[in-house]
Amino acid sequence: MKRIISLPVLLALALLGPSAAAVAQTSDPAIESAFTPTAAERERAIGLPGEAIAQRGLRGNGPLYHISASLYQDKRAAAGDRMVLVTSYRYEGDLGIFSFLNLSRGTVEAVRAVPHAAVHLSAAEFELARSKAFADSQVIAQLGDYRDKVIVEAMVSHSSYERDPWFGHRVVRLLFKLPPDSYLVNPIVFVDLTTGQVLIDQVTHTNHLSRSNREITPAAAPGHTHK
Amino acid sequence: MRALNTLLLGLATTCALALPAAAQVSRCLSATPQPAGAPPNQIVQDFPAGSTAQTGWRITYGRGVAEGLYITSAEFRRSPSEPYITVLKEARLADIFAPYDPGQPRFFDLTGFNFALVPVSTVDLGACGTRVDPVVVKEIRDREMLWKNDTAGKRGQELVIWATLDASNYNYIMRYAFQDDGTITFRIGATAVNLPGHELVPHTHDGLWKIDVDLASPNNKVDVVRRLQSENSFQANFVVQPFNGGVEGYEDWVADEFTEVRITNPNVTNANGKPISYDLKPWQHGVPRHFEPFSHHDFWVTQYDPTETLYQDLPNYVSNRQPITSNDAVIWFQTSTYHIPRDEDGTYVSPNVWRGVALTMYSGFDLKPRNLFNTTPYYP
Repeated sequence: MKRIISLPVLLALALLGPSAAAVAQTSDPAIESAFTPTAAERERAIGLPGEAIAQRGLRGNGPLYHISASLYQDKRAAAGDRMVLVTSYRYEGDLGIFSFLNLSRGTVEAVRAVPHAAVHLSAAEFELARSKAFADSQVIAQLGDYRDKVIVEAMVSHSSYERDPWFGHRVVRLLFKLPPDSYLVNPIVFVDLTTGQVLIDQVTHTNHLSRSNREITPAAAPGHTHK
Repeated sequence: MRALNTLLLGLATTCALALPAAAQVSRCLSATPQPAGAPPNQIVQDFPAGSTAQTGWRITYGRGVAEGLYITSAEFRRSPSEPYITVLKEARLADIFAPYDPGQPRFFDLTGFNFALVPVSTVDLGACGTRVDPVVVKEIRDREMLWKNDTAGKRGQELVIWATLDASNYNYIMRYAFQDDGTITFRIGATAVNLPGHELVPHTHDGLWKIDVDLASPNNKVDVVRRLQSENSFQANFVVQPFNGGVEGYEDWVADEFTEVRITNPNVTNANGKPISYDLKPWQHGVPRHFEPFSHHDFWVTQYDPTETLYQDLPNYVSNRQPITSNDAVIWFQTSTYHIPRDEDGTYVSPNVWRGVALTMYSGFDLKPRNLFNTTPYYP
């Protein structure tokens, strides 16, 4: 995820709705529809899985974000049918929900729920992570004069290890890009969207030798400082 | 340093003088005119390029945010008088996994992000590339010697499509090449800026591929091929066995066994009566073994199910051990590069700013035809 943070952009993101993946890669809609759902199809698709998810007992409690709608291949489908995959994320249980739709027939072909699957961020979650970080005094202090010069990017960091403190959490690493082509080394900021905490990694990673001959524990947390 | 520079200059001069003039001139190969009314995501290319067609590819591709560039069909014909034979129904990176050696962070660079493809730039096109859409490059390339026999020989050619995933600080080059002899090569290249704050931390870039070969039919046979030799014997032999005993599961790539996976259509034969096949040939630097169970094995095969899309979920997909022999099977395969940062990746230009890029490192595999032709293609 890469966004230049400005008010107009934030407003545009909000209007885009649930999917930051809605960004078209060509300006010709006729060509683009070979690769991605049209805006109208995306709107229809996002509205379809809700009932199917509820019927399967997957709605749960708390936030559920419909993240994206993309075309998927089903070679057994009738030629020309528009097959759309809607990807959703449920905070309760750290659950990825994947709804497979035949948009031409208006049917939900299948719903798969995968705990702890890697699922990308919605635009709304990205904005939440960014705003939490920029409300943190330590982040602001470490950014210093760069605060108004950086572009914020977000990466979801995944944990597969049950003893990792972040296992089952929606954790976002924020990067601070210094245009045109450099990045700030610090601060190393993580936002745990599940708990709402902002964490700053205090461990230095900038020395080749510091990592050699070091015993590594699988998925050990890298020394995050909880504020 | 001065001595080194002098040596390099001398070598460059010697090489330039030694090359024949023709080899120093870049000649662009001709793209086949596309059929009228063809879908926007279809590319047709005959070989030899710009000459009387002998073989040819007809492919379609897809691309998307969080998906990158992928193939939605690939058909090959051995001669202009024959119909196309389906080779692929789908081939893509199902994911890209980038775990850092200390254990964290661990990024799934496709499914974990809404990364888009980078618009094609002039530098991407080089001298001979074509922009087939705003984010995809097509090239018709000379691929050096297809074969040699003393002074005789034939230069090979290929149709390449590629695109670049903008993975935040990183870039991934996704590249598919369709060659004149029916071979397809799959590559993922990792490049751009090392992870901010972790610029010197080793990590891997694992290409997690999903390949649905439907060789002239969805129902193919999947075997594993191994070369067996003992250090106590002069003799070696190879064995061809049903993949995982013919049911969904996994196999490992073993360096000293030259492990391959073979996909065969037993019902379609060449003129010699041999079933047509494709061999999946790894192009390995090493095998990644991480904490995550999907990485504990190199090859997985599942029965076709359009809703099985997540590489991470493979252990679950194979758990009911459905039959894959004479069924519609899908192959999943991981390729990897291990990136130990070096000074060539960049440098700290101030205590808080890094400048530089990691040069591209590729991993991948090839799909190579076996008994698809009746004899050596492109041989007089």
